[in-house]
Amino acid sequence: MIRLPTTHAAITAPLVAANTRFPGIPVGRSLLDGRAFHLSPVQTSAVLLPSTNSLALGGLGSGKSTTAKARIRREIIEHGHQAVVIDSFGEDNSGEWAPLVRSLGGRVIEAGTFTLNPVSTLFPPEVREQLVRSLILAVEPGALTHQATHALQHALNHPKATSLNGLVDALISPEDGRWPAAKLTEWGEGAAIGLSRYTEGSLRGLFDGPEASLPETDLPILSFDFSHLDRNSPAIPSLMAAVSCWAEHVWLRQSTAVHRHLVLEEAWQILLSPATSELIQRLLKNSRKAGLSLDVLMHTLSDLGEGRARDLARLCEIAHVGRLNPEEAALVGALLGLPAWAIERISSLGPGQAVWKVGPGYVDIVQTVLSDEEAALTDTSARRRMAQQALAVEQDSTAPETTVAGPIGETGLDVDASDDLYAPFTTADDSWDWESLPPNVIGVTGRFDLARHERIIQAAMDGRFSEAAELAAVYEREDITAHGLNSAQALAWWETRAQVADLRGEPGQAAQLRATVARMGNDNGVRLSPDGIAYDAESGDRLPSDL
Amino acid sequence: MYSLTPGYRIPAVQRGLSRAESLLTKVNAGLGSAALMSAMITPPPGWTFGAVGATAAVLNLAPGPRSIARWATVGYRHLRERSAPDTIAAQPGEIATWALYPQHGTMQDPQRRAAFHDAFARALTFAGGQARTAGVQIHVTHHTTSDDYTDHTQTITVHVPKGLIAHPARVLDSLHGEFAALGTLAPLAPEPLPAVTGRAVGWAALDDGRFVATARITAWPEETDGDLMPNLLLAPGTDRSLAVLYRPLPVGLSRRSAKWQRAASEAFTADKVKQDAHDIASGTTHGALVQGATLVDLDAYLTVFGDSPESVNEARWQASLAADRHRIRLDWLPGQQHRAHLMTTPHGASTQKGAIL
Repeated sequence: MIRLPTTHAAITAPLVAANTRFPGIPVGRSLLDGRAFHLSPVQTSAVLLPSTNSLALGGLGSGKSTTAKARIRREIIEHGHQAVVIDSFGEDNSGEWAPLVRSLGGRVIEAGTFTLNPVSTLFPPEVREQLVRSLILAVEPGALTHQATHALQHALNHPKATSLNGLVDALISPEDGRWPAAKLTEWGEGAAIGLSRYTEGSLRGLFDGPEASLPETDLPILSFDFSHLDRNSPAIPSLMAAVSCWAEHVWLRQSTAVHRHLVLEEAWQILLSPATSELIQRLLKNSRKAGLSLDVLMHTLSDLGEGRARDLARLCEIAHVGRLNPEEAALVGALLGLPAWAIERISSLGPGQAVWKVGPGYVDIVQTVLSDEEAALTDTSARRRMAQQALAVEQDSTAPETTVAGPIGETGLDVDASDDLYAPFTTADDSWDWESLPPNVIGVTGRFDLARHERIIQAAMDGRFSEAAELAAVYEREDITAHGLNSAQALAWWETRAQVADLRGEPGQAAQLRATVARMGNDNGVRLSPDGIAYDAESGDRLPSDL
Repeated sequence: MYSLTPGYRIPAVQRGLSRAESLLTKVNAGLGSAALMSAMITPPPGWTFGAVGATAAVLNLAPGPRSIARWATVGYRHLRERSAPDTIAAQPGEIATWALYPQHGTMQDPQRRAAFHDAFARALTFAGGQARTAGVQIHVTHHTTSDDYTDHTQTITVHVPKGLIAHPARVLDSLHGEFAALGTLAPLAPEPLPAVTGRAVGWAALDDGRFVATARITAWPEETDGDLMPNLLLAPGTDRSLAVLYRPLPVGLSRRSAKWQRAASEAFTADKVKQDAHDIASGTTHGALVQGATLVDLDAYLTVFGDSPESVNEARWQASLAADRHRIRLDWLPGQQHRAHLMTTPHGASTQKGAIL
């Protein structure tokens, strides 16, 4: 027994943990007290969380996208929510969200392959006008004067205005309305010039389609993939305008899910443009009424400027902040009203860890917990791993020949977690047979048909280069169909093409082809040693040198 | 470090005597004075002085471990400690238990944590002031179950011994209000105490299949930033329980105790450093009392769990390491494990002061 003053004894009270708990999906583990952290904003009481929008901040590799993906996935699977993702960041020519979207049975819509008709008859008239106005504002912010707006309104009522081209025609050569045609022509010039960017200018092909199709509204998840576009492309504000209009007027009205999410990946470029930020602000303000949560993901708030960042922070009741440098952490902390102890820890958070702020008073530090499947679907470091593997291959190939001849690697039945397992198959045949399977599934590498390689080399040596190239392409396609895209047989054609290029006197191209094969990794069945001799990786047999 | 040296810091009288002890004291005094009176009337024969002196010598002066007195004492303790008497945690009185959780983030924010500790100190002072003598007991437990995630269970129990005050319900209700200001408070019915099915020197087996080892906390760190408990209990850990039993003293008793404590520490200390250390400690206590605080006796216990004797020994080892890191000294109560674990459950709230565990 120890006798102390009460003021000193109070620090020994073992009352250290809280029992605050939000309803909903599991997110991760609190680093403050080790408890499980659950949160579905829409299931939380409206007294505690008036709005359900969330803001995710964090530097590269802080895990903000991974957390957002895991949350959306669990909301869709456990509660039947729907999500639309605007995905403007990715690698390997496809958006970051593509594997997740495919695994959930959703659809990836790539910008450029999908043409939207903003004056489609599927939109109600006021939506058409709204959409066209935002398209004009996205490229010509000053074009919409009162007169121009009237001219546009007049042109939209023209029977020809069922596609963007028709609308521009109706703007340029209007018919008499309340105002004479001459005046309408004069007023409509600015709007017509703005819209001509979409019909004849650099943004052609995005909005000038004649057909009236729209994306489905009953899919669990839909991703608009802007990752092909340049980050500063003027198409992004226009596409954003179209997507947000579609979401507001078609998707939100038609979808039957209990709750909807609109995810804005790399949102700063959307929020920086005045035209689109206005649309997003409106969605944010109406989100509660519409049964919508906006999930905004971005690096930091400092890109946005003081006023707009403050607005965004005010409208998003839920924020999670991954690792940021100390200056940005202080700024973000001040905007979000985080306590000092949490701001201090932002700069030392690990991947997947974030400071969460839920409602006005709840601050926690949470480590996102992922299942294996989720980890595979949300992995974004595939390119870096590939670079590391390529380095390893180059180091291997400079090793002496004796080490190359041994059996290398496992016969790969194990699947690389970063592979996009849900990507559509490139071979479009429905019939199933052993031949169409990739060789590593069967386990035995087929032999090479050397006669065909020899025939092509012969043709090239005779000077018939175009014939050799055509033949090589035909044979290569056959081998890809028969053995798989990454099979030894298919890869052997790269080497043959390189030899053809050598014979044609293009050593640069040959080197490029060989480098590509080397970078494809050592698990594909063929290894090329520096002297151009190919080895079968499984048997270690030396392949014929004239290959 | 505050060290637990029984009998020095807190003399036995101050620690409080049990009902039987005070009865014996009175009987002894009565018999002694009667004998003295009769001796003054009729002086006894000379050999009685010899007999009394010899008995006193056997009782008090017998040196060494083999003495009769020591044999008798140890024998009695063996007999007493063979079984856990039910009365140890079943003292008559009013008792109320709640689950208490502070607001989220309280322990992480230095200002909010200090405010929480101040409020808790005020609640203790208030509880101590409810009776003329010390007796109200407040028992706080914290239990952690650690798996992929950690679950925390925190309880606070108030015990008002029978006969201490006329209306114990009033004290319980007042304290309910005090504690409700600390965080989320909800009434709780404690789970029944698990029975002991097996025992060894270092552990006890419970009927729910767990093995437990309990230690008394005998020394606390000299100084902390107030974050001792969050650091100790929120660290990723294992299954463990920690409980503190507070016995707040009323104001008058606190002042007298502080006075005697100061006098005792000043009296027989030759070491100047020790003297000054005592001086500073008494000065701090004095300041706290002036500010309106009172003194509180606290007993703290730590229990670790395992599913086999080996795992409980391992858990005990890990707990010792953690205690060393936090400058806490543990006494693992050898031979008393079969009832020590009750001290880290809400049932420990009514343990009598000075009870032999």
